[in-house]
Amino acid sequence: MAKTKSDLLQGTLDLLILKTLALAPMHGWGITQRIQQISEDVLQVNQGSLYPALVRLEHQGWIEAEWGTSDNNRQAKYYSLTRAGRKQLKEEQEHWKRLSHAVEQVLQAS
Amino acid sequence: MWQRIWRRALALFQRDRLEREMKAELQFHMDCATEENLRRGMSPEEARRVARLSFGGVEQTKELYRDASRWRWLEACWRDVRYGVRSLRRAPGFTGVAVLTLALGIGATTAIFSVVYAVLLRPLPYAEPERIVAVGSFNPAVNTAGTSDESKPSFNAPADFLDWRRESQSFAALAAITGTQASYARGGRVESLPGAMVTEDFFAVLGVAPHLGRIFLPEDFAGGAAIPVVLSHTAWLEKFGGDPTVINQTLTAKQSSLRIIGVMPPDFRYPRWVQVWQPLPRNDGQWGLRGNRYFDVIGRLKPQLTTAQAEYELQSVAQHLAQQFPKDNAGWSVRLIGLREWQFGETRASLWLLFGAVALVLLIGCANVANLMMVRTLARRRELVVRLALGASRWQLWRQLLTESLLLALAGGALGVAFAVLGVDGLLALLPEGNALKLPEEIRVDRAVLLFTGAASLLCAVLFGALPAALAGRADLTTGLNASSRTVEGGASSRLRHALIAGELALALVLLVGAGLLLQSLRNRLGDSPGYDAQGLMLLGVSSPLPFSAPETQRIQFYQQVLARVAQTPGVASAALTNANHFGFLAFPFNRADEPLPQGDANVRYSAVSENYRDTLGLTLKAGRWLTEADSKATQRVFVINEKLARTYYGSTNALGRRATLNYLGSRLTGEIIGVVSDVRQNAPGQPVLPEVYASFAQMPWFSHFLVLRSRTPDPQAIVNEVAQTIRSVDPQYELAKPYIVSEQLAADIAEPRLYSVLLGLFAVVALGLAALGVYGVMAYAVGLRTREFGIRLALGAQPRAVLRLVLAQGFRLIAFGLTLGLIAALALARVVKSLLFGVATTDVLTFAVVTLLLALAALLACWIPARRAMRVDPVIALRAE
Repeated sequence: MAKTKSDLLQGTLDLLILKTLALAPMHGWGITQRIQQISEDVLQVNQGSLYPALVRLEHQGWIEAEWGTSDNNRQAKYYSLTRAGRKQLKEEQEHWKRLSHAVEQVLQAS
Repeated sequence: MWQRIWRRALALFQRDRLEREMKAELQFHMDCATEENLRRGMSPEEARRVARLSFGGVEQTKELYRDASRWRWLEACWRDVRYGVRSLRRAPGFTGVAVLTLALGIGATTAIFSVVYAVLLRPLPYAEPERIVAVGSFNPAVNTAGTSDESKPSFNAPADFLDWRRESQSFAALAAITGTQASYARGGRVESLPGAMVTEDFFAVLGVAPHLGRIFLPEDFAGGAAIPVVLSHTAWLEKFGGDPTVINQTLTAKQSSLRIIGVMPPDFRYPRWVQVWQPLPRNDGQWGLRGNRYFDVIGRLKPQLTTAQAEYELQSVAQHLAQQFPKDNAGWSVRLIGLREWQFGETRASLWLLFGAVALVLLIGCANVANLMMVRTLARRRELVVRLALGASRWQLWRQLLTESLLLALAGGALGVAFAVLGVDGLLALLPEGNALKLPEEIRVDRAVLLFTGAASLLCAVLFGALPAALAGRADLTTGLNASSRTVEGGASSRLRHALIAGELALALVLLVGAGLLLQSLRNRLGDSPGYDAQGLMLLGVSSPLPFSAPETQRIQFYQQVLARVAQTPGVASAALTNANHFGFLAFPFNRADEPLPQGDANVRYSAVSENYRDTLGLTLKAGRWLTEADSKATQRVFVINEKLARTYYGSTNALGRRATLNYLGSRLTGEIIGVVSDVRQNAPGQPVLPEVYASFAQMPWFSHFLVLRSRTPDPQAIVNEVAQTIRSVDPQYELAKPYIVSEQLAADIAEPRLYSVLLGLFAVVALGLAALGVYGVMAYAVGLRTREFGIRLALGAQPRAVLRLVLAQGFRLIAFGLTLGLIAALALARVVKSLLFGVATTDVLTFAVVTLLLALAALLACWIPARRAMRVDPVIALRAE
């Protein structure tokens, strides 16, 4: 098992995937790279969680997959956000903000 | 949501493609990671290694991937099914017995249910059937319907109907119906169809539109020579070949013509026997009759009105009529009954009883299969425990066992449906022509019935699958693996199985008691003498060719002439004349002339007969004299009454010489009672004898008559042609009608109770067999487990008899417990069959004793076989066997 520097909270991975895909359609590898990049290597996505998460999101109808050609000219499965996914992302963002604000408040108090 | 389910379901069938895509996607990921590493300056070897390391377990990822993309549990179930089928096929004996038991149980239950559903449950094929009611006249002081159910209302008088229709506010439509025969000549032959004359609103009450043509319009009721008729779908298909051009076709008849105006849809059958409907003209002579009740009246309630409200309102109308016409209507009220109750009220109790009985048989069958399953589960304990040890969860074991039960139940159900289809055909074939339940178009295994079968099968699976599954849930790793398959069985499971068998015995006893009581009633019914010797007796319809306008004396002469000639026919031992095709079927209001009955007119049967009627039937004269040839139009009107009437309305006083009145089609005719004869039972065996009045047909002729013939040979059929020839010598136009063989009719009358009794008897015998089989199974298994113990006992010097006693004692306790339980239940439940019994009490000691003994013997025999085996155990073999 690959180690992540910071374990992802349950459900947070979904949010990160949705957010990443909101920027542009991307394949699995790209998603891990992008999350790592933006979080400045703090968040590393475990492939063992990434692919099941992608299947789950696809079944929920929030993302859809399509085979396409990658930059290095190979067949890759590209995931993109659906309309329902966009709505879900908005909801989850709100939820996240509320949650992190609440956690912040608790930490400040102590 | 649906999309999601769909995708997953799809994934089940696209395993290969998905697997390929997954591999490609993961490979791509790996390659990208390797490239990245290469870019960072690693050697190709190093780059691949690091990539794989950072990826983690590829197989685990794949597994997680697969988990997320498919329904694992559905696949697991499929695996369970395949495993279950394999495991059941490995035990063909067990599977065969279990499936057959279930198939017979489910099949019989389905067959009976299809009758129950068609007759009692399926919505009637009319618009808003819950608003349709039947109206019946009712007089609490008189047994109105003349059956053993004294609360049943009778038919209605024409004049009453008109008043109800005018004065009642409760009905959107009210219609009257009376039977008729529609005869017409076609292709040189006269055909006759059973018909009904109906009033204006008949089709409006039922709310059914015609299949072809039109239904009656108000102008059709004006009366006239051309009678408009509506055909039933059956008559249209069978008599007219389903030809749509029959509409407006005219059929010629004796005195009038019939014009076909419409055809009804296939499921429209009211009244049941009717093939042709024709208008009952507004100017018909019968509308004035008030004391004669023979109209079938049905009504459609106004919306939002309950039956009780309408009944209350109509009763007040009837009360008003009773005051207005005390002679005919004193004491008479009305009752409203749902249409289904009116048509099938009498068979309802019997059908539910049969259904209950067959459900009990199914339950006993389930208990037997549960027992087999438990024994099998015990025998498979090692297999189950090994699977537990290899990491299967208890839930998985449980699911596996339940899957097997489900497979058995579904196989049983599927085979059961085949049995049911055969059973329904057989059932209908057993009913005689003309029986109210003979409804081949309606009683069938249809979607609703199949739904029931499916539900019943599932319920069975749960019933017999849950116990063994619960048993498996208790399987214990250590003891399970250590124990050999031949140890003493667990206390709990053995108690459970003994309880099941005791329950089976109890249920079987309940069924046996019910069947015993019913069969005894059947025997009583068969032995119930009709009051005459039915052998060689036949009724043959004969009606005078003279028009109704001809003088009565001419008609009387015609009948006398026919009678005289027929009596001379060689094959005829004795011949007489009567007016009723079923002895005394006409009901007339009767009263004492000199001292009227306080409750008003009584309902009695009336027969217009010739003087040799008493001899032909063999009735005994109890007092006074019988009718003679001298009693004619010219002499004083005289009546002979039956014993029942004498007892009921004259009690201990002498009826002879008293004067009585009959409401004879609107006119009150008074006559002197000159004799009392022995009773003739007018209705079906088991029904009470009704009061009856005999008059000479020469004094009071009826419109049509029947010859009562006793043949010299036992089979009266042999003289039919001979007699028809004789009649033609008087009336060359005579059309031979279907002869009415009395002994056959008597048999047909009890066909339904006979069918119920025989079926219940059959169910009880099956239950007995199943229960005995259950006892045998449990005892044989117990003996098998204790073989070693018995071997030791015998080796230590125990007498074989002592071992036999040991086993029998165990079985005896079980049987005694089951039978006690059954007796209590049977005593409590016997009331259910009360209305179906004849001449036997619900607590008939003999029946209870005999069937208890019978069941006890069968069960003891089932114990005795394994007990004998225990006695003969060879100690050497038994001890060495382990």
